[in-house]
Amino acid sequence: MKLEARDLAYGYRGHVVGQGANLTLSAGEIVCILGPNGGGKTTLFRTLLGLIAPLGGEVLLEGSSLHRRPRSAIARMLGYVPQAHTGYFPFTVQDVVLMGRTAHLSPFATPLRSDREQAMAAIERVGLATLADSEYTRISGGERQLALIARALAQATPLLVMDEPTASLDFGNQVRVLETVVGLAKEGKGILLSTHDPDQVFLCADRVALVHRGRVTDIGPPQSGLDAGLLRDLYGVEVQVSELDIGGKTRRVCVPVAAQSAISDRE
Amino acid sequence: MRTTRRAFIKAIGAGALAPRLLRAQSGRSVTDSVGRRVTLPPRVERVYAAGPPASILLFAMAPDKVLGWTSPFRPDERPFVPARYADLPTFGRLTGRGNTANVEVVLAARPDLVFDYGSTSPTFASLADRIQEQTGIPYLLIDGAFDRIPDAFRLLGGIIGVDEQGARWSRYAADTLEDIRARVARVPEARRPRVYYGRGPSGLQTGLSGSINMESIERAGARNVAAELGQGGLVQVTIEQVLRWSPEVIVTTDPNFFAGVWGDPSWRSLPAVRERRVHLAPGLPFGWIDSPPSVNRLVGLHWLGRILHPQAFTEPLRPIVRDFYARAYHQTPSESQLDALLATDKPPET
Amino acid sequence: MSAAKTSAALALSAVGLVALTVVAFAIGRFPVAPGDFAAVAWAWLSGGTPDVPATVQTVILNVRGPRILAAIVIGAVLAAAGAAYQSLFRNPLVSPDILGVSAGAALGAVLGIFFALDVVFIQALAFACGLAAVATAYFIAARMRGHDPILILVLAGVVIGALLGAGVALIKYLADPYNQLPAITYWLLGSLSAATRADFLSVLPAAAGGMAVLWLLRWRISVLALGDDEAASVGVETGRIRAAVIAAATLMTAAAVSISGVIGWVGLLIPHLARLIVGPDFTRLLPVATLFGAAFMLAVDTVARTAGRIELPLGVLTAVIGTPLFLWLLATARRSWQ
Repeated sequence: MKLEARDLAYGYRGHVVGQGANLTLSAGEIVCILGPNGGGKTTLFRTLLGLIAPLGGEVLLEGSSLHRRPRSAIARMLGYVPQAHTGYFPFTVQDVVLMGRTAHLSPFATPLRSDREQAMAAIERVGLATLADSEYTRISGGERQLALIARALAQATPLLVMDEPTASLDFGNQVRVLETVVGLAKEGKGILLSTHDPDQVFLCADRVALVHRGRVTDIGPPQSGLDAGLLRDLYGVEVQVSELDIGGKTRRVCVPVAAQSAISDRE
Repeated sequence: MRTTRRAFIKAIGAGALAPRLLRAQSGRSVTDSVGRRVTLPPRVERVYAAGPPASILLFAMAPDKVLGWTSPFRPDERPFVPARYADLPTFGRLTGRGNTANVEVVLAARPDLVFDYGSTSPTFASLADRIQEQTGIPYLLIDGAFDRIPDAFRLLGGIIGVDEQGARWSRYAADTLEDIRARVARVPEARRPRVYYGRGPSGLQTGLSGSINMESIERAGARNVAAELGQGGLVQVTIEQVLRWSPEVIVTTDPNFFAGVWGDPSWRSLPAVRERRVHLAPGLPFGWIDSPPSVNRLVGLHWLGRILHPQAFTEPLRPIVRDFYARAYHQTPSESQLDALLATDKPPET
Repeated sequence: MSAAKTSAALALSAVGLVALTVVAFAIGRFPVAPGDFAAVAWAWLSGGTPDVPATVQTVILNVRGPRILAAIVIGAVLAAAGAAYQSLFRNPLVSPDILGVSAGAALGAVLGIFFALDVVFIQALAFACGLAAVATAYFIAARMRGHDPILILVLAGVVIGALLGAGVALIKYLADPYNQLPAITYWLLGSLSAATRADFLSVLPAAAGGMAVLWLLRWRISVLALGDDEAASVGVETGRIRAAVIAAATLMTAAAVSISGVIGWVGLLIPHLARLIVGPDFTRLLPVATLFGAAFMLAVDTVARTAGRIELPLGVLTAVIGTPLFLWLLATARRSWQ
């Protein structure tokens, strides 16, 4: 299962946000899109999901054009986890997650017991079993994000697209979400997620693509490809990329330089 | 045995149906003003008038067949009508899409027929058909055109079985209309006054040529100043337009407007106001000019004639009014009531 | 909300509706003995002739019967359309009139009255203009592409509604004050006082068709409440579903309004009430709102024809009863939206 962007130009009618994007996402891998806020990551994702039409180039799903496929076919292959938001109506967590099963229902059907069971399993997988009957609008931001991930899991797609899944979450919840993402990839899912935090990239990504000034550059595995120079170009600040030994494995971390020197000056 | 029982049941069944069939056979078939053929029972005692103009037509000719009114009498209207009629129940209107009358209430009153007097447009004809089909009560429409008032009396009189009153009223109406017409014909066109009919509290609503509200005034030989605006119904005008028209006579039905016009600086400049030719039409128990547009307007013609062409209408008005009220409303007005009626058109003494 | 609670609500409202129907047949300004009613009902079902005076039969079969049935259908239809629109537009303050169907139907009827047409044509014109108004709003919105199709649709509906309202006001101004204006005014206030069997039968196909569409699409309508992007990402063809819901709701509402005149509040209030009890899931909301709407309309219409000697307009009654009820809901219910 493969999602591919070829020479993709994306944006809104008359306004190009980015062009020349080349990306692939395959099952079992985690691809991160890294870039500053306002850089067009969400627009790119909406184009990859088929929610808006590409302005140039193409998006291919399993080798054929995404936009020619019916919605339900796309929804069986590609799941979407948006940023958590408040809802308009007091659906329960279970209601929201169950909606993920829509693609597997025939046009006039309502969810069957097997759908409800799958939804419940997804809720348990993300650790929200105790909140299954709570109102979606009344749980915390982190819990809402997990509920949306559960919905995508219930959708049972081989590929997932997650738009800033850790935005507005506290440190603990951020880590929990990333752990879930890593676990899903190990189970065989392909996950495309966007973030503005380089450390998250180092934590989970198999490959990273930088989105900056309308260009999308796939630089491969972050361990080898993502260095301080690129990050400086991306964010306009000085950073140092170091390697740490965590549990016997080497992991890169990104540390801002400027704050450190102020402290050391004071010492 | 079986055949006798079957014959017995058939006889019972025929017997059950028989009254209906008998009714249909002995019922009369009448045609209303729009050509609808309706079957009526042989005797019509209980008549439901579906709107205010119909109520007055019926009341004038056959007051004892009136089932009720479409709206209750106001306190100042009651003294002109015998109490036993004024106390009849109120049913609301059964005319137009959106009647205020409750169909069940009408049915509970067991009318022999329902009729309406006024518009005969396809809307009303189709409504009549619908209500007739829904309730099983015959529903008739009578044309309310001004010139056909004598015909209306004769038609309704024949339908409800008061042919004599119908003929008498028809003659009275025809005579009145002819009398007015003849006198007006003798007044040369140029000597017919230019009249503005001001309605409503501001006096700035008037009737266009041919509107139902202007029928009496135009028949009485007035030249409608608003005629230049074309044909139609009622319109709102501005004081500037009235000033430009500069009518010789102003007729109104609103007491508030009448009281205020004398002191109002804009209106005061009009020749009609300066010469005290502003007249408030009497309106009890029913309007003399147009509210409602029914046979109550007949008395108004005499009044209008005297206002507009004093030389052509020299007989005193009082006996005519007394006679009309006795005929139409079945109660001779007292002298003080007549004073009140006839005094309303005099400008206040200043 | 549990399935058990929903089933209970459904059962109770169905029973309530049946009870209300029996009561409605029993009361009215024309005295009808319960025995007569039973005899006529039995005769009608079994095909015989009842031993009951002809006028009583007329009242039950021609006057009360069609009126009660019409009230049930209209209440059901308005509530269902309101519930569907509230999901579709993701806004609990939306009524079926938001795209201009009532304004269009009003203009059609008022034009028909103004041109003194046969009542059948007045109704047909109301129906056609109601459909045309929404179609116009829809096509205007379709030409104006933007980020938020819902907002553009609502704005187009509001604009069309305002334009048509101005048209109605103009006709009222020009209409004959004796023969036309009372009819126009009363039509705009809403009434079932002249509902006939033919009226009821004419509204039935559109109502059934519209309800069938809403029923078939009930799950997807529920999912639409997530928002266009998310609904699409789980597999809902948002544009098509939206068009189908608008078509169905408009068809039902235009048919209802063409025989009853403009009746407000039912489509706004009843879905709210139903949502408080069974939650926002449209698969549960639709049947409950439909039954509640039917019962409410029947109750209000029964009051309209029995409370006073003359008829009270339905639109006035639904507002008088609906507004305080709505305020009470807002005040005491939990905030069901952020």
